[in-house]
Amino acid sequence: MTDPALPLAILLQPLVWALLALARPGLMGLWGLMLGVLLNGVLVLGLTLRLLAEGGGVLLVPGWPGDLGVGLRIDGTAVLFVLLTWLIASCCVFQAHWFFRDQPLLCRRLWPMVLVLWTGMNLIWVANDLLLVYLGMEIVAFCVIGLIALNGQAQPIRAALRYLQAVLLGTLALLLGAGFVLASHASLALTVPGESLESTLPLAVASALITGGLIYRAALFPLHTWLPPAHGSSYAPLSALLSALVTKASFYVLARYWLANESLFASELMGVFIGLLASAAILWGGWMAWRQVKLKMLVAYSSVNQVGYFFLMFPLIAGGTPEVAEVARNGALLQVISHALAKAAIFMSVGNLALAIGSERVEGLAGVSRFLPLSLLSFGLAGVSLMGLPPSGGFLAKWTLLQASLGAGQWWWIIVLLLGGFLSAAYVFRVYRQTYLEGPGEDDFHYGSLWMEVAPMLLALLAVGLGLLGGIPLALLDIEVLP
Amino acid sequence: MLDTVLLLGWSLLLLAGLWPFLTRRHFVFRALGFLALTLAGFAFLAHVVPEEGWSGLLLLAGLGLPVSLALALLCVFLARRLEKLTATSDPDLGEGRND
Repeated sequence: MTDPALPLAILLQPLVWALLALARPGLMGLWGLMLGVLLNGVLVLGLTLRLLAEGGGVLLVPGWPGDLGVGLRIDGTAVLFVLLTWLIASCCVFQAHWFFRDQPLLCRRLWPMVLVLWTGMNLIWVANDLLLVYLGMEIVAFCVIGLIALNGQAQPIRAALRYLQAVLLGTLALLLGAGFVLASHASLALTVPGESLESTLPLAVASALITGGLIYRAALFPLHTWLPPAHGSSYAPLSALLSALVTKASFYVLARYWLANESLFASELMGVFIGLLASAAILWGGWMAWRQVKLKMLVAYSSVNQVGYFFLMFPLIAGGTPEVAEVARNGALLQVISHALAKAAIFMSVGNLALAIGSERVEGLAGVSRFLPLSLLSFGLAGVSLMGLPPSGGFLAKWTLLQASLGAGQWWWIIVLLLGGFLSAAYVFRVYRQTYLEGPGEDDFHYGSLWMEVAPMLLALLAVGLGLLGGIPLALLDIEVLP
Repeated sequence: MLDTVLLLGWSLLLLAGLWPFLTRRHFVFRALGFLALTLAGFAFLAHVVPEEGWSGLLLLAGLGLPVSLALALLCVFLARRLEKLTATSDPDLGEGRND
């Protein structure tokens, strides 16, 4: 597969739709949006099937002298994330259509931003170099800021400013890190097949800057403070998009860079340091989620908790054999996928619940179980995955990380995995318990639309089903670029 | 002599960039500080990048500086908008701590 047409079409199609949304907003009704979603889906499925049939990926770089490695990398991992983005973005677009159907003026700003964000995400997944990663991240950042501040009120704008500060510093670190890579290697490639960068002082500085910048943008404890207000302040279908995809991008880039250049990054000390931050994130995020009084803030802190699990990969890679490193990578990436599906489902169902009770407070949920059983079921199914109960995707991911911990002889991470599971159960059941209580007054619930319960249910079922169908993403993860 | 002047200029840029973040100044100052840090970073990179990496550095700077400027302007725009909304009396305005 050396033809760049299909990957380029996947990148450009949402951009074309965004331009259409800007030029002719009237076209972005349900059918216009769904046509775009279906078209992108056909292209993405075509690329996935082609990759599976050929059994190897391809590097699409210009190939002229001094190209610096700038180009696209179409391998199994990239395609898996493009597929995940299609799945989640499609559901979010569908949900957002019903959520904002009475607000046409707001939709004129919403759809271009969502669709450009989609392009930016795909660019990050397939980027082969730090330059395109940087470009993709900035495209995404501009859209995210716009989406957080969409309703123009003070609280979301304040949250957008905090996110912007994380972007400013994270971006600067990434940019300077790329400069240091350039200084020592005269290349910007993220992954150099068959070779690994030798450790030198400029590369050590680059690794520190890139790791720090991406950790800040991924919201790992203690650099997580921008995340809860940002995800808790925006509209629920948009929070779903931001939480399910955007924070994953920084982890994805960091994981790719570590795995490709282990000799540069993977010192045991650095791994343990990141592992400790990850453990703190799991425990602190879970504790804070349990204590929140607002529904969306509870779910946002749950993201801080779940992001920690991704980063447990790093000490296992640094301290284990290549076989253990592969198991750890599979566990972390499965966790990313299952969390993306579950978190999108949870944000959407919480949005439905909040809309029904006319409040964002957990205590306002009393009695809603009789009124919105489907949304509550979606919340519960996705919660099963967050807790890591079988047969969900979350269980498969955490079980794989547990095996990697045993394989690396680092049993202490298992304690963190178990405690994190208990904390997740605590905040999920806190919401559940409240919905089964009866309120003091008469029921006064608002019902949106049955269509608004479809997308969260689909994503929640996928989050649970991933545990049974884990072989598919793992098969894709094993497809590397052919030499 | 030139090296001393360059080092001094670079140190001043670095300090000017870090100061608003370290002292938790208003978002507008942080945006300006971010621009100063970006310039300081590129000035330093221009010294350490070898000749064969210059095309890459120009590419990074060509993309990075306009994007940084756009981010800084967006920061100023949002900070001003927030000021208008909160009528400049909110004590948390410049602190960014309010959840």
